Amino acid sequence: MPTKQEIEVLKHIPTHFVELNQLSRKIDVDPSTLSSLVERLRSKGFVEIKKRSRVVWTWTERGKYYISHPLPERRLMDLLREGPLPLKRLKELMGDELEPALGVLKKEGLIKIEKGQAILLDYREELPWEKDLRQLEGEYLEYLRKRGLVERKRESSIYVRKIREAEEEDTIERLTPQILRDKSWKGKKFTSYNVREVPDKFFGSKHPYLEFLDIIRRELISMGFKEMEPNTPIIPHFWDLEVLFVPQDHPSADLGAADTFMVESPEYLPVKEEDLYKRVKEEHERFWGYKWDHNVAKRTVLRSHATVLSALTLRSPEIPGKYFTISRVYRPEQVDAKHLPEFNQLDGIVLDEKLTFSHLLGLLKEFAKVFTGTERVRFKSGYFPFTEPSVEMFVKHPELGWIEVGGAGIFREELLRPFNIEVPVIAWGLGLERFFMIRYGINDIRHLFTEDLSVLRSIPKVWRL
Amino acid sequence: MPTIRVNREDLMDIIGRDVDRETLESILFMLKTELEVWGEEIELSVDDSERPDLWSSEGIGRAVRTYITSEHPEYVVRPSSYEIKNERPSSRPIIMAAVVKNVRMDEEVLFQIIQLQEKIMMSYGRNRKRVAIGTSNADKISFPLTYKKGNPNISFVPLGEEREMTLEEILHYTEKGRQYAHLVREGYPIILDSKGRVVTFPPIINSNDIGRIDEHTKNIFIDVTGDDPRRVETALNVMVTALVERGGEVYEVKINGKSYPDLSFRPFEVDTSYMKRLGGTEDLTPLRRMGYRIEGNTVYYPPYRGDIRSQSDVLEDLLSSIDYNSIPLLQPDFYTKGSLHKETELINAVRDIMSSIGEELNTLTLTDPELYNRLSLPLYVKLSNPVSSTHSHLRSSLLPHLLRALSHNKTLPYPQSLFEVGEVYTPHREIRVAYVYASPSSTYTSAAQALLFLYRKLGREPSLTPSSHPLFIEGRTASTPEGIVGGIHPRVLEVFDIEVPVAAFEITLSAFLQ
Repeated sequence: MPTKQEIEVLKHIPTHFVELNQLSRKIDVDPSTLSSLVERLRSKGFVEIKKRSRVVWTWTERGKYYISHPLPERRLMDLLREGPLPLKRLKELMGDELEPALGVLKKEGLIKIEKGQAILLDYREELPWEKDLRQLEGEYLEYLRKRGLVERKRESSIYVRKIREAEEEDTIERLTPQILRDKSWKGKKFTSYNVREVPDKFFGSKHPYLEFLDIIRRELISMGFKEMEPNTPIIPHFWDLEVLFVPQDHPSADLGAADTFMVESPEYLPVKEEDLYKRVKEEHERFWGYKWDHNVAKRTVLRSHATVLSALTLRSPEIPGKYFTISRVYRPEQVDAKHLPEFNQLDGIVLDEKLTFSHLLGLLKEFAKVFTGTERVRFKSGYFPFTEPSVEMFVKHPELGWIEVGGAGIFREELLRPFNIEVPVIAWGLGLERFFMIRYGINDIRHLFTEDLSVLRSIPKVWRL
Repeated sequence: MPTIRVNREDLMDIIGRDVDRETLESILFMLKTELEVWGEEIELSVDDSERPDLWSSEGIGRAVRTYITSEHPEYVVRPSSYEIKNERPSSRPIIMAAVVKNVRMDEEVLFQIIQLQEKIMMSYGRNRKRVAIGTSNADKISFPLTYKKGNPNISFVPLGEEREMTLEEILHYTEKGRQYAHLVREGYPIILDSKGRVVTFPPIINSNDIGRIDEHTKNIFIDVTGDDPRRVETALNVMVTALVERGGEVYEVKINGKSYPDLSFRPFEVDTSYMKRLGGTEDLTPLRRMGYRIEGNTVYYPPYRGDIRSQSDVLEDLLSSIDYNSIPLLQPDFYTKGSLHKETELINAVRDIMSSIGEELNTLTLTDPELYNRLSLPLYVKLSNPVSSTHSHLRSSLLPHLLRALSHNKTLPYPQSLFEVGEVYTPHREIRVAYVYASPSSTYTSAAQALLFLYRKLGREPSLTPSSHPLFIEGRTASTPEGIVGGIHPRVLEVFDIEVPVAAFEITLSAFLQ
C-alpha cells in the first residue's frame, strides 16, 4: 500500500509522461524528495519511469565571461575600425586576448600585419559564431570548443507517468474462496494489479524439430506415402551396404575407413534371409569382380543411412506402392556446429510398372515445392552405387543460393534381382536437419538435440512448412 | 568423390573455346561434377567413383568439348616392338602397358598426370590394392621387359631416394614401402628391363633412375598392374587417352603376345524398349554428346569407360546428354493410401498426452558410459570405433538424459516438467516414454498422477505395485508391468547437483501396441 505522502504525490502525476523537474516546480516538492517518492511508487507498480539523456552545449569556465562581453576578435575589430594601430599599443589595450584575436581575424582574412601595425581589411557586423549557443550549428560549436570556450555535456532527465490509481480504503487485494462464500466482495473495489509485468512460465509443449518431422510425415501421407516398418539400427553390414549393391571394397563401404560405426558385441549378426544373402553375394562377385568376405557382410554395425529401411521394405512391398521413413542414422563424426554422430534422414521408394525417370524428377520437384516452398529447382547428374540413373536436386534459396537438398535415382536391376522385383523402383533421400536449420534460422545442429531448455523455448511452435 | 584442380586457361585450351562459368557449370552438372572454386585455378568435385576419365583437365576438357560439339577423337595405336613378358606374380598377376610419345609436356601437364595417377590409385584402385600405375621415361628403358616375382635382395634406387635399397629395405625404410607393404605379402612383383634393371616395384615405388618422369619427358611408358582386368584396362586407357589430348602418339606394347592398349570403341547392344520405358525416348543420337558412336541399336562407347555395364548405365548417359533439366516432369498417377506406421501413431498419441503436462526433449541415442556408471545403470550396446567416449554407447534408458537436462537448467525457474519419447536399446530396440517433474513441491504423487493420467488417456488402468529401483527412494517407488515411477533418490540428485526434489517415471510402450 502506498503511504499518504505517496498517494498525495500520485494524485499530481498525470497518465502521460512528465519531466520530473517540471513536476517538482509545479507541485512544489523539492526534486530529491520527489525523486525518491517516485521511485517507491514505481516499485509498488503505480508509476512508470523512463530516463532520457541528451547532449547539451554550455560555456566553459573561461567561456562564461563572453556571455556578457564581446569576443576578443570583436574587440580587436572595433579597435581597428578607426585605423591601423601598432601591435605594441594593442598589447597594452587587450593583454592576453590579443593573440587569439589576431589568429582568428588573420584566418578569416580580415586583417593584415605590416611594419608592426595591424590593419583592418574588412569589418563584419556579425561573425557566424557570434550567436546564442542554442542557435549555433554544430560546426561553429565545434569551432568554439576547440578554442576552449564551450563544452559538450550529457544531461539526463527523468520522465514519469501514472499507470495505476492509488486504492481507496477497504479494497480487495486477493479474491479468496472465503470472500466468495461470505459475499463480502459486494460493494467493494479491487486493487489494481500491474498487468504489464508478468514473470515467465512455461507450459507443456512438443519439441519444435519433432513437430517439423510430424509435418513432413503429414505431407508425405497426403501424397499417398505409407510409413515403412521401423527397425533396429543394429544390423549386419550386409543390410547397410551390400544389399544396396555397394561393393565391399567401395571406399564408402570400407569398414577400416571409419565411415560406419561398428558394434563391439555381438561382433557378427546372422542374415536371416539366407536365399537373399546368397543371391546378393552372387551378383556382387559377378559384377564387381572381387571375392566376397562373410566377415565383412556379417559384421554388426549401426545403420549409416536410411536407405537401409527402403531395402528392408523391398522384401515384401505392395506394387504399386509408395513408402517413406524418417530414421536416425549413425556416422563417426566429430561433434561441432555442423556435425553430429547421429541425425535423421528421410528416405523413400516408389514401385510401379509404369514409372519413368520423368516421374522421379517430377516427384523430386514436388518435394521441393512442398518442403521448401520453391519451384526453382535444378537437377545434377549424381552418383550412388545403388541407383542408375542417379540425380541430385538443388533448390534456390533467396540468400544462400543453390543448395543441395537430396539425392535420388532408379534402383539398379542388379540390386532388385535378388529381391525378385521386376518393376522399376524409384528411390530418394532428403536430409532433414539442414533443411530445418535453414528454414528456421538455426545455425547449430546441436540445438536440435539440446538438453538446454532456454534454447528450446526460444524456437516458436512449428505448425506449417 | 575426388576433388581435382585444373588451370582455367589450360582447360579452355583443351575444350577448344572459351566457355563462361554458367555454361561450364551446367555442362558439368550433367557430368556429375560440381564447380567448387572458380578463378585462374579451378577446383572440381567429381561425384562418380567409377569415372576416372573425368579426374583430369584432359578428361574434363574432352568431356565438355564432346558435350558441346558431339565430336569425339578417334584413337590410333601404332605398331611397335615393345614387349613385356608377364610371369604373373601371384599378388598382382595382371599387367597392361602402353608407350605414349611426343607428349607436349610442361609443368601443368606433369601436374595433371601425377594428379590423375594418384586419384586413380587411391579411389578407383582402392588405395593401390586393385590398381597401381607407374609412369616412366620410355627412352631410358631397354625393352623387352619382364614382369615377375622379384628376389627380395634385388636392389635399386627408389624414386626420391639417394641410395640403392633392396626390396626388403624399401618396405622397411621408405614411407610408401611401409604404407603399402601389406599389398605385397604374397611376393614382390617387379618390372625388369632387358639390362636387368628394376623399372618399378608395383604398387610401391618406381626407380629413381629409369622409372621417373619430369617436365621434360616427352616419351612415357605407362604400366598398370592389379588383380581385376576391367579396372586395370580402364585405368590404362584413361591415362593413355588423357595424354592423347596433349598431342601424345600411342604405341602398342605386346604382353605375352597380346597388344595393349586396346583403344577401340566398345560395342553395347541397347534395349530401346528399356530406354523408352524408363527414359521416355528411343532416340539414341544424343549419346554422341557423351562420346558414343551410334549404329542402329548398337552403340560404341569410348575405351576409357569401364562403367558401362548395364542398360541403366547407358540410360543415365542418354538422359544426361539430353540434360535432366529439360526432361518433362510427371507425377506417379496411381492411387495409394498414405498412412503412418502404428508405432508412430502410438508415439504421437503419447506425445500429445505428455505435451499437455511437460516440455518435450529430443536427445541423442548415443551416450556417455560415465553417465550410466554414476547411476549404476547398465548399457548393452558398445561401439568398437567411437569418435569420443561421450558418444560411445547406445542408451538403455531415457531418465539419465532427462535428469542431466535438469542439471543443465538449474538457473531457470521451477517447476520444470520434461518428457521424452524415444528409442532405447537393451540391447533390443524399445520405445519408451520418460517424465521428470522438478519442483520444491515435487513428490512421488506428482509423477504417479502423471503416469495415471497417461495410462487412462491410453485407455488402460495401471496397477501400481510397491517396488525398488536404483534411481528412486525406497518406499516411494512403484512399478507397473511396463515401467517404474517414484521420487528420485537424493543420492541421484546429488550426482547431478540438483537442489530441488524430482519425481519421475519411465515406461516402455511396446505393450500398448498390442
